[in-house]
Amino acid sequence: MTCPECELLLADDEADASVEDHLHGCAKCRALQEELRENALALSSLRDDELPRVRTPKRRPAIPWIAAAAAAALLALIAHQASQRRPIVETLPRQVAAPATVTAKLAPAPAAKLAVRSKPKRARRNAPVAEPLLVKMLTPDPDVVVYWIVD
Amino acid sequence: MTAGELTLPIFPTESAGGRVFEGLVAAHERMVLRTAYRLLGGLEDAQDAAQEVFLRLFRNLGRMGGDPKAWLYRVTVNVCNDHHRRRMPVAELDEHRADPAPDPERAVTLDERKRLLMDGLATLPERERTSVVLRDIEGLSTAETAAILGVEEGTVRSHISTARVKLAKYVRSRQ
Repeated sequence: MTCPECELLLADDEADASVEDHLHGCAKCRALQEELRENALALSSLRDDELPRVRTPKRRPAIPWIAAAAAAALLALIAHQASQRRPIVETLPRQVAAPATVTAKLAPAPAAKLAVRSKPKRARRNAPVAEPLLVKMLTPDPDVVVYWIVD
Repeated sequence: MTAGELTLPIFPTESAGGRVFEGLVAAHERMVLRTAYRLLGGLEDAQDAAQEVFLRLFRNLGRMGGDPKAWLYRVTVNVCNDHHRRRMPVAELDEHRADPAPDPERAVTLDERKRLLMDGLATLPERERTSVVLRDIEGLSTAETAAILGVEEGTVRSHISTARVKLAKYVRSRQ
């Protein structure tokens, strides 16, 4: 009997006595026999083992994420609005810091309108209240000059 | 069973069929989940398989004849084999690989041996793995195993013998 033949017979539930002769002279097959015996015990004991628990990741409450998203959106909105205002904020304080004179010709009517629409109110809102803004408007008549003081 | 709960679909339980179904689930839930776990090697996969098994049970309540336990074993094996085939193939054990000499000083503890056997099971061909799980772990007879798998008893014996030798060599090679 060869070792492979003996191995299969040892592993069979209905092993016959013919393997005994081989086992007497084969240490390798005797070791396998012992291994098979221990495996059989281990396999049968697996049946009663408790199964491992499933590790489910703990869900964090959604509220902090919503709050964080809302905060991020609010910051983005503020940043966007700040970037829209920046040119005014940058230019107007300079005009105000040193009492500036804005000159606008009223000769063509649209120009006069344009001069009037120089957003002085925004300047007042963004600028320090210390100095007034002086707007000088020229008219077609060289003797008539209109000054507009913006608080 | 202390493992994660098995989530089952909600069925109407007021009917007689619903009560039968509930009774079968209660009686065999552990067996189905345990067998699926040994066949698949992972609890989450086993839970998915168990849900599929009980879904099939519900659909076939009226048509299921004979022993529900054998029917559940058979469906569990089929579901797990389908599941196993969809996964990445694993390298099978080479029967004819040189048998490494075991370290006589190295004694494998029972827990270690169980872990190695589970690892080794995953490397076995489907028929051998299923036969070992049903016969050696679940403790079914060769005849019961053969009936569940739909093969002759001699075939089961052959599969089991081959699988046991492979597992023994697998465990020994890792001592």
